[in-house]
Amino acid sequence: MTSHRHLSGPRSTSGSGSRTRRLGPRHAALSLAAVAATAVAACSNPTVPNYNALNGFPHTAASLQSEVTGAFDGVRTDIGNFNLFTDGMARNTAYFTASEQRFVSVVTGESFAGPGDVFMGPSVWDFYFNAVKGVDTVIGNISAIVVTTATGSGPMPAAQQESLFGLMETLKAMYYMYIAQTRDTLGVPINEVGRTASATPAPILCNRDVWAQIVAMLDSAADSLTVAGASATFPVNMPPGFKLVSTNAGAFLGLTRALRGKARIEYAYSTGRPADTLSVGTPNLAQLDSAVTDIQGAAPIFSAALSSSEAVAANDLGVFHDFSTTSNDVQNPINTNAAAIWVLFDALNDIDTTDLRFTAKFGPGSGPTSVGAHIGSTWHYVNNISGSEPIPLVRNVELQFLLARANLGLGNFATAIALANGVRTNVGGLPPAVVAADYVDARNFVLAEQRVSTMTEALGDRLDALRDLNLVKSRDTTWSATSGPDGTAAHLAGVSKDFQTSVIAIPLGESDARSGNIAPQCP
Amino acid sequence: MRARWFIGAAVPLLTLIVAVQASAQNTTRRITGRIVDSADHQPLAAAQVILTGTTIGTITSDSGTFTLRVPAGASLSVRRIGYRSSTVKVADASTDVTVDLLRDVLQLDQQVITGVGTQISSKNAATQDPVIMSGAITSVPTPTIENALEGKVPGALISDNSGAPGGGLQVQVRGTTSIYATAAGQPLYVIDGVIMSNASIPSGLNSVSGAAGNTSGNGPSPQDQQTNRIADINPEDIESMQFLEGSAASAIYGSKGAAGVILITTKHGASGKPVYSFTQRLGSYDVSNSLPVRRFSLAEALTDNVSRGAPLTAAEVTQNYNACGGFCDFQHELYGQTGPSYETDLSISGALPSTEYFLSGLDKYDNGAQINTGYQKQSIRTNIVQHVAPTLTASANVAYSASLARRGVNGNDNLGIAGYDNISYTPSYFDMARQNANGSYVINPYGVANAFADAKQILTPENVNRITAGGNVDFKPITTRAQSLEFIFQAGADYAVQKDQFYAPPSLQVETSPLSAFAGTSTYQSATNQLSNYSFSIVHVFTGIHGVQATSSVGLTHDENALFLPDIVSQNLVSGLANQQYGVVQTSFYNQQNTINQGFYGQEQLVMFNERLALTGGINSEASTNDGGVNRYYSYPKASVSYRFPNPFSGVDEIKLRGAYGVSGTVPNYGVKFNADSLRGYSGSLGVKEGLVAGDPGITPETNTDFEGGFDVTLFKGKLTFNATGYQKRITNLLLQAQALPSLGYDEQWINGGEITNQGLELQVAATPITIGKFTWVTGENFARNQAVVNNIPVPTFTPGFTAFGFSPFGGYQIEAGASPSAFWGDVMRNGVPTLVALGDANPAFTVGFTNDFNYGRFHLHTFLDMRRGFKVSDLTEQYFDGAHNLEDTAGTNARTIAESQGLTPYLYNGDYLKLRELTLRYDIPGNFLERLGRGVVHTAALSASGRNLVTWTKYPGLDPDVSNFSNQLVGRGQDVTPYPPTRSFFLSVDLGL
Repeated sequence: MTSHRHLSGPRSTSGSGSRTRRLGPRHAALSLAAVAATAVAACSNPTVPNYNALNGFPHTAASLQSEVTGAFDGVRTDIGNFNLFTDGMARNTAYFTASEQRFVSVVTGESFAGPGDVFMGPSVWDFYFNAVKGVDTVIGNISAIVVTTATGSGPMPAAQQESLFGLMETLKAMYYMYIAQTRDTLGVPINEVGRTASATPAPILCNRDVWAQIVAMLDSAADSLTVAGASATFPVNMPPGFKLVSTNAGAFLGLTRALRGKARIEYAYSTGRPADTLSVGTPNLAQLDSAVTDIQGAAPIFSAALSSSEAVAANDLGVFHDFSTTSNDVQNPINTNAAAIWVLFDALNDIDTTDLRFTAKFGPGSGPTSVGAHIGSTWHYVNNISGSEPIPLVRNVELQFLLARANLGLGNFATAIALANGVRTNVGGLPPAVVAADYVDARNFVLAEQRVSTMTEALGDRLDALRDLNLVKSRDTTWSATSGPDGTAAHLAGVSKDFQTSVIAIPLGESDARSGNIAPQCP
Repeated sequence: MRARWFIGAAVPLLTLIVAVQASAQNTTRRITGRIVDSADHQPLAAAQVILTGTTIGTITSDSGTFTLRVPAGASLSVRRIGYRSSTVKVADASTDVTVDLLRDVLQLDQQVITGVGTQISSKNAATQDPVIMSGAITSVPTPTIENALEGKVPGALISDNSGAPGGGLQVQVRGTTSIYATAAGQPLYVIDGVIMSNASIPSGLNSVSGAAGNTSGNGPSPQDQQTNRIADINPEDIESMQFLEGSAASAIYGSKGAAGVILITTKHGASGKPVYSFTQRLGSYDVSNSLPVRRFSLAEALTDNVSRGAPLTAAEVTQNYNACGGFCDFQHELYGQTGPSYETDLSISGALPSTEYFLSGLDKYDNGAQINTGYQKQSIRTNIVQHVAPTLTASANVAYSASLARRGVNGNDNLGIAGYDNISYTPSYFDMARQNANGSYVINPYGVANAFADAKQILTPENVNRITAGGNVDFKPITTRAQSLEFIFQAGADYAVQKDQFYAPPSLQVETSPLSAFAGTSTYQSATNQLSNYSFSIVHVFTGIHGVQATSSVGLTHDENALFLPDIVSQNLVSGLANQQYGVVQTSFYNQQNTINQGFYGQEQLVMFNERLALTGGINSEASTNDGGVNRYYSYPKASVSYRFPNPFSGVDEIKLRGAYGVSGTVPNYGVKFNADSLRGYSGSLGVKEGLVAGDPGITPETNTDFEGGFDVTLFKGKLTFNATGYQKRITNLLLQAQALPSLGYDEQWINGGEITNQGLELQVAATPITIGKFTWVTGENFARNQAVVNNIPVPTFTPGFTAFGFSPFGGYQIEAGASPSAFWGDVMRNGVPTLVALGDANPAFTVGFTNDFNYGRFHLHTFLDMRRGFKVSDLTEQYFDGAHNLEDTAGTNARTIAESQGLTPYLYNGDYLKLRELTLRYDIPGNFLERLGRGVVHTAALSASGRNLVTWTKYPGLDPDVSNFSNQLVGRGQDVTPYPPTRSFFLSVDLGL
C-alpha cells in the first residue's frame, strides 16, 4: 500500500468521489514547464574559492620577496623539535612533561626507539623537505622573473641572479644539513624534491654521499656568490637575523663557508669513523683541511677575538632564525618548553655551574617531577630565553669548536685544546684547563667545552661529535644511576639496556613507499 | 547530465495524467464509519481511511468517525500510527462501517519514507530501514537523541565519546564508510523533509590544553572534545526516526547518503481537542566508574616522595597524609558532584478546522559530575499545518534552542591540566584539594597544575543559539479514483552560532609554570554554521489498473552549507581581566568553508498483486562545488524488489523476501581540490610557503554501492516477528589523503582510489511471548555484525592523519590492503624483534541489544541492555598513571613498563562490555483518581523512576571502553586519553496529560 505524505487532514479529499478540483492539462503543463525552467536555471553550480589558503605561487617580481621570505621561514616552527631531539639524544638536556613521557623515555634512551618509531619519526623531515621545495621553486624561477626599470623590462641583472642563487642554494644546503644531522647513517634521499609523485622513489643515499651532496651545494652557492662579486647586492631583503651577512654577496659568502666547514667535517667523518673509542679514526683529512680553511675564512661570522658577551648566543657573531610574539609570526619554539628543559646529570658532570656559558641559559630550580625525574638535575633553561629570542643557525663560538674538531681529526691536538681553552676562558670566564695533548684528553676536553657552549641551541654539534668519534653507548649511566620513583631500580627487571638513541628513524611514509627498502645506498 | 532528462521524464507523466482523466467518473454513495481500538473499543482519531485501489481518502475525527463516498464493491484500507493496517470490504447495502484496528506492538506495519513525498508500508519495504518511535527515545531521560538510541538500531553503531555533559556521540551506519571524507563521518539528518546540520565544530579548547601542540595558544583542533549539533534537538519533539542504512534507501540523497540517512519526523497536531502534555523530571548524574589509584602507607609515602625528587619535606608529607586520612580521593572530590538535574517539557497539540498545530517547550539542566561542569538547554518548537484549500496544504515548523555547556578540560592535553592527567601524576598522599587562606589552591609540587584549581578556575562555557525552520507546500491539483498529482515544495534553513569563551587565568599554577609560554589564556570563538536547502518534487500516483499502484516522482534538490570559524586567542593576560583585547600576545585563526550541492532525481514505485509485489527503481544525479568539476553530475541509481507470501505455512502469518541494490556517494571535503599554499609573517614581511598537502583539481565523490537481501517472517498471529538482512557495501573511489613521499616536499596529497568493503548481517526478533490477563511481556532483540576490509589502495600502506599516538606502546591505525580500516596495529615480539601486526579492531565484531517491556496493569517495567564484543581500546590513561607509578597494581605497572621499553604494545585492551543502558518503572495513575483529584483537568498521569547507563560489565581496566579522544572520527576511535569519566543518571518523572 503506497500513500502520500500530507494526505492527513480533517477534511475529506474525496469531494464528490471523482476529484475536488480539476486543473486542465494546460495548467498542469504550465506548472511542469515552470518547474523545468527552474531546474534548468538552477543546474549550474558556482565556483567556490578556497577561502583559507593561496592556490599557487604567482612567481612575479612583485611576489619574489614573499616567496623568498617563505623560504627563510622554512623550518622555524620545527626547529624546537630539532633541538629537543638532538640535545636529548646527546644527553645534554631533556624536556620533562607529565603529559608526554616519551620526550624523556624515548629521546634519552630508556625505551627502545626502533625503525617504526612514530613519536620522533616524522620530525625534522617533512617541514625541511618542504622548505627545500620552496627554495627550489624560487631557484627554478630566477631567470624567468621580469623586472621593470626606468629603461624597460627584462630579466634581473646577472649579478643579482647569481647572488640570489647563492643565497637560496645556501638555504637549501642548510635545510638538508638539519635532516642529515638527525639521520646520520640512516641516510637521506637527496634531490628527491621536485620529482613527480608517481615516479619511482629515489634511493636513500648513504651518509657519505649525503654530505658530499651538501658540500657540493655549498660549493655551487659559493661559486655563484663569487661570480656575482663581493659587492653585489641581493634583490630581496633578508630577516634581521641575517643582518651580518645580508649586505652583499661577499658578506653572505661567510655564511656559506661556515656551513660548508661544518658540512666538510661531517663528510670527512662519514668516510671513516674511529674503529674504537680510544684510537684516532680515519677521517678524510683533505676535507678536514678544507674545513679549517672554510671556517677560518667565514668572516664576518668567524672571529678569533672572543668575549664573555658571546656566552649569550644572540650577542655572538652569527646568523639566526628570528622569532617574535607578534600576530601571525612564530614564537621561539624552544621558549615554549624551556623552563621544563632540565639539564641531565650526564651533562652536569662535564660542567662547572659558575661557567658564564652555563649561567647564560640555566638557572636553579626544584628539578623535574615527571617520568625520568631521577636523570634530571635541578638546573633548567630560564635565562636569555623568550618568545622572541633568536636561535642560531651558526655562530662564532660554534665555529671555534668546529675548528677544534677539525684539528682534532687532523691530529693537531694542541691547537684543538687551545681553541677550546680560548672559549673557556674568554667566554666562559673560567681559568684555562691544563690538558694533555693526546687524542683522548684533547677529545674529551673539546667535547666538554663544546657541550656547555652550545647546548640547547639547536645546532646538534655534540650529537654529531658523539657519532663521528664513535662515542655513542660508550657510557651507560643515564638510566641506571639512581632509583626509580617507586623504589625499584630505574632499570626495571627485564630491562638491561640503556638504549642511547642517536638517530631519528626514517619516516614510515618513506619506508612504505620503498616497500621497506630503506637501506642507504652509496652509488 | 543536465536537466534534459528531467523534462523528458515529466512529459510522459503529463501525457499519462491527461489520458486517464476521462475514466475517473463512477457512481458512488455516501457512507459513514468509525475506527476503534480492537482491545478497548475506544475511538481512534487521526486514522487514515483510503478507498482501496485509489488515491481517495480521509481522516477520522476526534470521535473516530469519518464520511466517504464509495462505489459499489468498494474496500477501505485503514491505517493509523501504532496500529496494524486493515482492509475491509464495504457491503453494498451498508452505509455504516466500523473497523477494529489491532495495536502494532511489534511495529509490523509502519509507513516508511522512500523518497520526497513518497512512502511505502513497511510490510512491502524492500530494504531494512529501522524505525524508532518516540516511546523508545524518551522512555528514559536522555541528554541528547543519540544517547537514547545507543544499541537499539541494528547496523547503527552509536558510541559515546566521553561522559561529559551535553552530548558528543558518534553514529556509524554499517561500518567504516570512508577514511577521509568528513561528510561520511555521520549520517545525514533530515527533519520533516529538510536537511539539518549535525556539524561538529571544534571549540578551541586546544588553545588552553595544548592538546595538539606542546603549549597553549594554538588554534582549534580535532582534539577539542567537541560535540555534534544534533544535540540541539529536543528528543521530546520527535515522533519517529527512520534509519536509511543501505544505499538502496539512501540513494535519494545521492552524494550525501553514503553514511546513511536518519529521517526524523517531529510531532504534529491531530484532529480533536487540544492536548496538553506536561513532564517534569528530577534527578542526578554521577560517575559510574573510577580507577584503582595507588594507596600508600605513610612509610611508603615518605619513600615515594624522595623518589620523586623530594618536593615536600618529610613533615609536609606526613601533614598531607594525615589530612586525607592516608588517602586523598581525588576522583571522588573532583568528579563527585551529584547536584540536581531537571527537565521540564510542555507541549500543546491539536487542530482547528483548517489548522493543525503542535507547540512545545523544553527547559533542562544536566549537572555535571565534575566540578564546574553542566549542560543547560532551552528549546521551543512550533509545527503548523494549514489546509489552505482542499488541494493545497502548507506546513511550517520553526525551532529555536539555546544551550550552555560547561565541559571542563578533559581528554588529551599537553599541559597536565585535564582532570585525570593531573590525578595520574599526583600521589594520593598529597592533599591537593586544600585551599590557602586567600582561597587559592595549594601548589602541586608533583607537577605543574592543581586539578581542583583548574576545574574551578578554568572556564569553558560554550553557548549555542540555533534556529531551524522548514516549510512545505503541497499542491494536489488532481485527485481522482485512478490517479493523483501532487506538487511538493520543501525548503529549510538552519542557522547556528556556537560561541566558546575559554579562560585560564594567569594566576593558575600551570599558567605560571614553565609549560606556559605566557601567563593566562583567553579565547573567543564565534562559529557560525548556515545551512539552507530546498527541493521541488512532482508525485504522480496511478491506480488505474486493477491491483497496481504506480507512484512516479521527479524533482530537484539544492542545498548549501557554510561554516565560518573565526577564533581569537589572547595570552599574557592582566590578572582578573579575561577580555581578549588586553592580552599582550594575540593570535587570530580563521576557517571558512562553503559547499553547494544540487541534483535531480526520478523514481518509480510499483505495488502489485494485491500488495504482494513491490518494485522500486530510481536515479539521482548530483553535482557539488567540492568536486573538481563543479557542474559535473554523478548518478546514483537504485532498484529494489520485495514479495510477500501471506500464510505460507501453518502458524506462519507471512514471509517476505526482499532484495535491493543502490548507489550513493560522499562529496569530497571542502578545499581538497586546491593546492593550499600558506602565508605567514616573518619579522614584518609576509612569506609565502608551499603547502604540505597537495590538492587534486580533478577530485570526485566517493561511490558506495550496496546490495542487500533478506527476509521477514511473522508468526503466531503477529506475536513473533523475525527478520534477517545481509548486505555488502562497497566503497570505491575513496578520498585519500595519501602520504606522499615526504621527501617530495609535501607530506600528503589528495587522491581518489582504493576500495573498502563492509559485509554484514543484521537480525531482529520481536515477540510478545506472554499475554496473561493484565500481564504482557514484549521483548525485542537485535544483532548486528559488520566486517570491513580495505580491498586495495593505490598507495602504500599509510597512517591516516593524526589519529593515534603511536603503535608502541598504545596501538595505532594504518590503512593497509587486506586489513580492516579500523584495525588497531601494534608491536609484538617475534623472533626477538618488535613486529607491527594488526592486534584487533576499534569496531566491535558484533553488537546485541536486548529490550524487554513488562506490563502489569498500570505498572510498566522497561529494560534495555547493550552488548558489544570483539573490539579494542587503547588505554593511554593507564600509561599516564604507570609513568608516575600511581596505580594500585604496581606489579602490573612494572610489567607494562617493561613491555613498553621493549617496544611492545601493552596498553591495548579488549573493550567488550554489557551495559544496562535503560531501566524504567512507570505507574499510570488511574483515571478515576485523576478525575477526583484534578476535577477533570488532568486526563492522564504517570509516575516513573528511571536510570541510564546504570551498570557496565566489562574487563576493560580503564574508565569506559566507550571513548574517543578525537571525538567523531571516520578512523581513530577507541583512544582513552584522560577523558571525562562515564556517568550514569537517575531520574524521577511525572507525566501529565491535560
